Amino acid sequence: MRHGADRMVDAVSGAALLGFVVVFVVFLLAPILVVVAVAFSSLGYVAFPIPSLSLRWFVRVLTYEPFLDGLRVSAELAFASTALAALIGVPAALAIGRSSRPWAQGMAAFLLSPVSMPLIVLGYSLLFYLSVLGLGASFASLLIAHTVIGVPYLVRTVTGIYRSIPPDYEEASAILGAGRLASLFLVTLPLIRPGIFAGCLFAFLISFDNLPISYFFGSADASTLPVVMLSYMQSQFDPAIAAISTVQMVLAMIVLLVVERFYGLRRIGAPA
Amino acid sequence: MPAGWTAPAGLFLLAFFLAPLARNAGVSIWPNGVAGGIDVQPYQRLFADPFYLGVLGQTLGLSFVAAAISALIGYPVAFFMVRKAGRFQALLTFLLIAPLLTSIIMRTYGWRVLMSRLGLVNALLRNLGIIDRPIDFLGGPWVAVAALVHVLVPFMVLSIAASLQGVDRRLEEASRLLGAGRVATFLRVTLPLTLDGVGTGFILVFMLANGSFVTLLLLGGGLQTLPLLIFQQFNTTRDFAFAGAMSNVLLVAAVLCLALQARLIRRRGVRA
Amino acid sequence: MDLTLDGICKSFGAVQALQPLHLSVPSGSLVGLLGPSGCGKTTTLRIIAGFEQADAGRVLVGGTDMSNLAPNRRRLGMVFQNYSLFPHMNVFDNVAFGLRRAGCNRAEVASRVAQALEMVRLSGFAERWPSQMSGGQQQRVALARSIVTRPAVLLLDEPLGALDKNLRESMQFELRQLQRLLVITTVLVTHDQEEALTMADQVAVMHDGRLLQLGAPDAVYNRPCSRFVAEFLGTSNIFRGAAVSASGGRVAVRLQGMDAVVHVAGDTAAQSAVEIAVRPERMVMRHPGTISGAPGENALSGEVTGLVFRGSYRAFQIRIESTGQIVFAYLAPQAREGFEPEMGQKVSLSFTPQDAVILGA
Repeated sequence: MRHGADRMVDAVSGAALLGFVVVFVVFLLAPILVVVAVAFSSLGYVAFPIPSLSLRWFVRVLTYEPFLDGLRVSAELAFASTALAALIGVPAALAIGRSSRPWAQGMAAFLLSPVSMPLIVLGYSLLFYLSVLGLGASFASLLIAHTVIGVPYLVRTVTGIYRSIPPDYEEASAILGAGRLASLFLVTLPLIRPGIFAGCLFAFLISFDNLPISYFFGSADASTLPVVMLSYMQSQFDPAIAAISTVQMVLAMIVLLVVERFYGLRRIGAPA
Repeated sequence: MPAGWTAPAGLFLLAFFLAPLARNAGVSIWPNGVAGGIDVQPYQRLFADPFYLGVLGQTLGLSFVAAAISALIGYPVAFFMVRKAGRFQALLTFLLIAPLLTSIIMRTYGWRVLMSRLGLVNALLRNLGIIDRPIDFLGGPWVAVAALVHVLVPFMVLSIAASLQGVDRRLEEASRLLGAGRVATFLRVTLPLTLDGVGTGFILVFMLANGSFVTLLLLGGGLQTLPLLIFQQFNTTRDFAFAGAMSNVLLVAAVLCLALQARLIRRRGVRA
Repeated sequence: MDLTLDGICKSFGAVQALQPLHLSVPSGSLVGLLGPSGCGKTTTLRIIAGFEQADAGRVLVGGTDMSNLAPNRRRLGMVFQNYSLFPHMNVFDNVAFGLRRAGCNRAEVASRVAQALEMVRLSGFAERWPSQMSGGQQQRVALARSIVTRPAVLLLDEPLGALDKNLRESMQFELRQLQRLLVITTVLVTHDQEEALTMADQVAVMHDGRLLQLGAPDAVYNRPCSRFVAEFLGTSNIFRGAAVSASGGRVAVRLQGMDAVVHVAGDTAAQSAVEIAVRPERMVMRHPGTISGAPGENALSGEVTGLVFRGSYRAFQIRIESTGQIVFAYLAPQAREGFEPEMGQKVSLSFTPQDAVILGA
């Protein structure tokens, strides 16, 4: 008899947990899906129910100059800052990845710390600092600021994967006659490539999405897409933002799928 | 790899991360240059004026509420993910990470689309005949809280899931064989073993919520937080010493959170 | 080329990992470094390879001091414990890696890789990827990769540790044959006694950073110099006693706590405390009373307290009557001559003087 009761309790609590998770997933997805739905609205303002489907807001987005300029600036900025972050972040990750010495731990903490700083504080401080240096609101300033927030992602994923690869491969390479540089290019870099790509992907997405920092550096000729979107939103509440957001999301998903297809994100393991 | 390989990244962050923050801290203490002497007036204003003290309290309180709700929602989800999801675990992980592919503006906009007077929720409630006049959800703070939780709860779930994954199931089996029921086993074995994960997630969410800016700017509902105030000082009042002081307070909070987190992680390392 | 370790030593912090070690490996021979984990054998190998710097001492290959050369300039071959085949290269590129670093031209690389793969019986596998191969096949690729450059010295770091038992035994023979064919000076590191005894010309038993005994496999097995060596290389029955007299290459030992005086081949000062070791498979077991106890017969009486079947032999656990000491006897069917004692039965044990060894301190 007790057995039967236990089973009942199991079934009920299991169903309750499942139900909770389903509600949670709805909570996660609703604000996103609702934007995608509104993007196809034929109405001139955001309202429900949507009377009929239309592509007019996508057309509007593709013909609205500030959005296109913002998209271009954001893409250039994301590419450039990711490349710069990788260029300085990867060697640093290789130097600290396998070391357990105190300096390496300290350096790792330092290189990871920008990710934990409130971005608005960083953006605000950096603006005045760079103005003193004569850079002010410009693409160069944006590039510097976005590289600062990109470095931690590269350092984190690359140290993670480098630590998971046994040193034997590099020792085997050395025994077989490869010098330091040959080992680096022929063995180490190919092995950590998934980590570099994952880090670049994160850095790219973070840069593309950043608002609190970009806001301070937006200038007439270099405003990123999020900054343009914000100012549009503050003046209008129409489905154009939904359309551009949907385009941006689809682009991000395509990038992710391509990276997954060619490099296998699963191989990154858990970035510590 | 030689320690020197950390130099480019280290120097870059020294010049464009640490130096600006340090300069900002300096300006808030010595607003008229070091020769002009220390002036703690901005800090006095921040900690003595009831309005600003209220803003500080609201910032920390909001972050605390967001972190607490995230923990309450996140634990069952993490539990389901690790213990019950089976082959759906990958799907659930994807659903948790997928929102990161969408811009923060899209997610914030999504909440407005859901909760505005003409939004989906009001439309549904009206159609069901529950209300006859739209409710002004955006006028209150709860949409902002929901949006913060929406953005941050994935970090909590992943943090708890990682520690749940590390729990040796045999300990729970041993507890059951020793006569403890399901609830007692959970409360006395599983939960204590995963408190580190909850703590790490809590601090992370608290820290990120403290610095969150876009969500509150667009959904604030009358809430005033430090990032919003810094933004206003920058845009309108232009009291840089005061904005610098507020930045410093946010910064100190972030550093405290980081130190707390490092302690938690170190403790876990010792135990492992 | 011959390899000489001239007093190399190493400590990590306060831990002395390696006491000054002298060892020479004649050209073309295989030395097995054998010992439990932490004995210093891996440190020795890593110093030879150049991955660790010795605190003092020299590593000489063919008379040339290599101590200050980087690993990639030492012209060595090495097979790693988990093979460490480069996962991003196919078999051909893995084997060709060392040749390309040495600047061989395309045609030479192709022909030497083909030759090496043929030697390890993997012709036709050149385009495969390591992840598509079994453990045994990966092991052979690793071997081909390490010998294709014709290294001065081949280092084997637990090369068969990851294989299952049957494969390991056949690979032991294959590896040994190849090493003899190529006449290549080889250092094998292993914690597996059987592997060291099967493969090595000389076995070097190490413990706590010290070299305890160096010798041919049968010499080290049959005449261990210390209790550690006797017990590490298989099971040994150890008896304590005192040498009461010695003459003509025989020592009479009075066993502690027993009446028995046993005779052991060897030479040691009379009146000194000694330990003697007898292998379980050297024990003879009879009905009690059938052993006369005459000098040289070395008889002990006891009671069977355990017996297990181990395939090719039966292992008996016997408690010696007078002292309660537990000894083991491994008896093959033909050695038992129809005598099958049961649990609790009284038996007589004996061993010949030649089958017992006097251990050093």
